[in-house]
Amino acid sequence: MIHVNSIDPRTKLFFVAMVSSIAIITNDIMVLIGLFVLSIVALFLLGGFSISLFYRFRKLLFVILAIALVQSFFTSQGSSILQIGEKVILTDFGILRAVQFALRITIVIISSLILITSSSRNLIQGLLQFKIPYEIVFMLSIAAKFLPILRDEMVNKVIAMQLRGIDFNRIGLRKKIALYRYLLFPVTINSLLKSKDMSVAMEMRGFRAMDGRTSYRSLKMKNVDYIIIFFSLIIGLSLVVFKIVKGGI
Amino acid sequence: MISVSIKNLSFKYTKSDWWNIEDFSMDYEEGSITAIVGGNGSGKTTLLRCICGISPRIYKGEIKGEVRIYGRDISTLKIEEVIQDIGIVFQNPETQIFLSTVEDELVFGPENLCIPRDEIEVRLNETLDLIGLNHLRYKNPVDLSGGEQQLVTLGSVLMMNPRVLLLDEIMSWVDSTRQIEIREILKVLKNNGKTIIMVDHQFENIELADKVIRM
Amino acid sequence: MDDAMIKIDRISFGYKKGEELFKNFSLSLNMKEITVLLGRNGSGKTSLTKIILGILKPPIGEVWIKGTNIKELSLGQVGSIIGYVFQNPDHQIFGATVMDQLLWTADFLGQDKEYIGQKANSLLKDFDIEKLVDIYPYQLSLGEKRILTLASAMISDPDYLILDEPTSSLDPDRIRILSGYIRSIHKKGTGALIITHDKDFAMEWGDRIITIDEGKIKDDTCK
Repeated sequence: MIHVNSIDPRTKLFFVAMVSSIAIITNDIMVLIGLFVLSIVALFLLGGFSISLFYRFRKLLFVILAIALVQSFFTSQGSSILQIGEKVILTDFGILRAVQFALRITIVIISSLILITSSSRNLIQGLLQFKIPYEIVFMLSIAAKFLPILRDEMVNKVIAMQLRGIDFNRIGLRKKIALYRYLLFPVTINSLLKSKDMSVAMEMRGFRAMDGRTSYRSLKMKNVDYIIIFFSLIIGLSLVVFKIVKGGI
Repeated sequence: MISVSIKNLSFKYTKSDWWNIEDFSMDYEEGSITAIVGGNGSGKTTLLRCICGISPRIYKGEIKGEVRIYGRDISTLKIEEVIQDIGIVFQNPETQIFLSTVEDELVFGPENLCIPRDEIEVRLNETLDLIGLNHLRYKNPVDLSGGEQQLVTLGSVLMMNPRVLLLDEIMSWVDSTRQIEIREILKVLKNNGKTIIMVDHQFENIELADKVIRM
Repeated sequence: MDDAMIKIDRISFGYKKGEELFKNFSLSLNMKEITVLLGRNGSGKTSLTKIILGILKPPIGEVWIKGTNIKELSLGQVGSIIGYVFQNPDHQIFGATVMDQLLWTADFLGQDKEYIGQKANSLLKDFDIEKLVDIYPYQLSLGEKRILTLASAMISDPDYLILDEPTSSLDPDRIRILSGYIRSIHKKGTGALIITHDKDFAMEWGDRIITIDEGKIKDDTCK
């Protein structure tokens, strides 16, 4: 098992970008299955794969299958496999489309899981070393930090409302909608006031005071990173060449 | 030696009809702690804002009089010069912490000031020792208690080596055990020659001060 | 089962599987008394209050409020019996002005607006915050917000109060006002559970002081 922390986040970013792009462009089912297997293996090697994943994602899997089947239902090309009287329900082409869709989505999901095996601070550093402007990366990290706080605040507010004696089960729909004002209004104002305070604190810590900035942390690519990138490129290019040779993506 | 010199300072916020501070003059010395007390609206926070320049720069209003830090008029200084002389810590740690590890948070300021990595390393180790959070170096500040978060904020400001430290009711979200720790740190800073001006209302914190001013 | 009692009966609860904070834990609280729950951060004080309110549901054991099993009460119903004041007042501030903050629930609870209005006015007076009536609550100082949320908890005449660290960050004047208020409602028969880590405040207060650590009662003394 490759040690999770030792793979540079940029390698993962590269791998994921490559896999996702090919998955979205290609229609070839073999390619998609190949990419799917490749990403599962990658996730496994990074230690991000566990049986509990299936458990947590089971609802999502149902949704994907449902959407896939609906898609196939509305695709009338191809020869029919299942029909009720005159109405065609499933066609072979439709099922193919459904499988492609399901594979694509799953590949994208697995890609995000691969990214999450790096700590958020390493990912951010990776983005920075890819020369994405600090302001943008910084804003992303602040959003990532505050979204859970915002969610907690909403949850607490809903609890607090009930503790003022308001029973959600007993009030009518119109009043429930009116309650939203009391939920959203304070949260919005609080967020605005907090961001004002935060911007003062940021400015007093020198944010954007000077044209550049130094970086305490730095990521260094190791041999294993270059190997992975190299092989990813080879596989990616082979797939593309294979497609072109076979005649059209 | 006089570090902060305020002469005839008056300040009125843009939307206000009355002067929050009127004709205030005071000198502060290196290696001292001054406590500022007073009721709501007495101008304590405004005073701190004027000393570090965020009034009128961010909190707009009309200002009269003069604030000098080590002889230099603060209204003439660029922001990067200001923050290397004066640091300010506010009441609520939540709005002063932006990053996902204590270490990141501490190095944020010096990184913004383009301090070289080696220098940052030195300051980082010293500061972690001073605030006693070596064991929390890689922790997410979100998981820390209010008192620990405030230690991080204090450390982050100290990382820029300011000679003057302004504290605006920093003990509000800090439990009593941590307050004792922070008071000890302030004593060390004072002995190292820092000028500390703190707004507070708790007796044990005010006790630390060499001078108490009521506004 | 006594009236005016909160009974926690042999609960077990843990946030993670296998790590139990409370094991076979029991406690009875007299709702007419002032009880102080003393303990460090992480000792279980906040979790215990959430269990009392029914926000956290222990898999084993029962909680009874005034003889009713909490499983039969919705959170709204619990809220009309027990007033809870969060440690962070921002969680409970809903109104656009201080007055709005006190009055807004009347509509939703079907309460008599005039009565609530009078109650609000007398609360404002008791807490000495009349001059803040038209101010945006978000602009208040922490101490003022605390007092406001306490007043809000009182507006619906709860039978019992639970206050989470009510004195932290308050200046001595406000602490005195708060203490005075708690004393006066105690005289009228409304007890309170005060959660704090401040030993001095606890000493001055509780008819009964319960010290809790790691989910266990370490001490339980009555004055």
